[in-house]
Amino acid sequence: MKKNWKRDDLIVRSLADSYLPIALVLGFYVILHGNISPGGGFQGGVLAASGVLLLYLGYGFRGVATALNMERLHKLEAVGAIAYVLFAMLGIFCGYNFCRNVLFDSGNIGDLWSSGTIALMNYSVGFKVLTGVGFLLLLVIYLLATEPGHEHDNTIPTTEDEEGGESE
Amino acid sequence: MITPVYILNTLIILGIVVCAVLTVTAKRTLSSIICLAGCGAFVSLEFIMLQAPDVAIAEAAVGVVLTTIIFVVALRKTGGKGEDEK
Amino acid sequence: MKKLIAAIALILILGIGVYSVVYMEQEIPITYDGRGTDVYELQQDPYDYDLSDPDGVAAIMVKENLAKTQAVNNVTAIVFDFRGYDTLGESFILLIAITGATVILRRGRGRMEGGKK
Repeated sequence: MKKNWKRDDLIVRSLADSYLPIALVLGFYVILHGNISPGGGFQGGVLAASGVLLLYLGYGFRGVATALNMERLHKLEAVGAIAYVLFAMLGIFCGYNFCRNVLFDSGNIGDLWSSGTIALMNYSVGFKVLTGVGFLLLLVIYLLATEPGHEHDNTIPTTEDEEGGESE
Repeated sequence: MITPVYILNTLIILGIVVCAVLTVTAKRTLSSIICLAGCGAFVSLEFIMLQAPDVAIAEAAVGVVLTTIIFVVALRKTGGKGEDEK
Repeated sequence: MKKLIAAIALILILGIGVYSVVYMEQEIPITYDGRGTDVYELQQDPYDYDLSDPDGVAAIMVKENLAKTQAVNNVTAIVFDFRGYDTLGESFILLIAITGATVILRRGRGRMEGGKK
């Protein structure tokens, strides 16, 4: 099964190998420093999710299907949404209104951990956008790979049957 | 008074207009998609010039990468080789 | 005929753009004290904005941001604290859109495989 991978596009694969860590580090930097530098959850999530695309360009459909699990990504996106609501409900638990910032005086101004629930909501939204846009890209890649005449035919495993093409 | 900022801004705006016109008047659909991506890149540079780095990052990630990929996939799934009909 | 209409629309849009540029050259964004600001001077010196006398909610967002949220990035403070409901709705819009795309694309793929069998 591994012999079906495209081995000839060396330049594209080398570029994907070089740029994938840079894209991931940039994306997670933008997510983590959302409260002290320009950027935020949405921008950093989209930047990090473009790593899926680099993986597809370098290793084809089979590599993406081996590396990532589609169903798990879709469930983790719901986990991110629930985390946002829980961080917003911290205000209700402390006796204030919804979306109240109850932890704002933790940490110093300008540190990585400061501004309380703003940072927590930022991380949850970044996680949610990362998994959501990654899932969307995976869906599009699946759709492209099922077309006859492309590099793979319909023999790829669907998501309902198996998990991500680990059958060899 | 002509400053380097003025010249750079003028070049970027000219790039936006040229890419938009090329997007409309291109013969092949694939060329049109690529010109749209170039238009997004110039718009992102213009956002940087106008001191809005947040919007610039979002535009560069969404307008250049994601929409281009989704358009290319839609074009390939609809079966066209990218040529205009007729 | 189509090309004529397209050309007229393009010329109209270009004319509106040139007019707006000329208009902006004369009256560039008015700050809180009603004084015009030059964009290019603003790019050389971003601290030229007049923050002395905002009113209403803008006063709280601009002046008391550090005291209320301790977030250095003002945009993030507005998006996640002052306008938390908006961000909640936006994130759920993304979730629902991706779920709808999943439903449509999966049904199409199943139909395609069923047709081939």
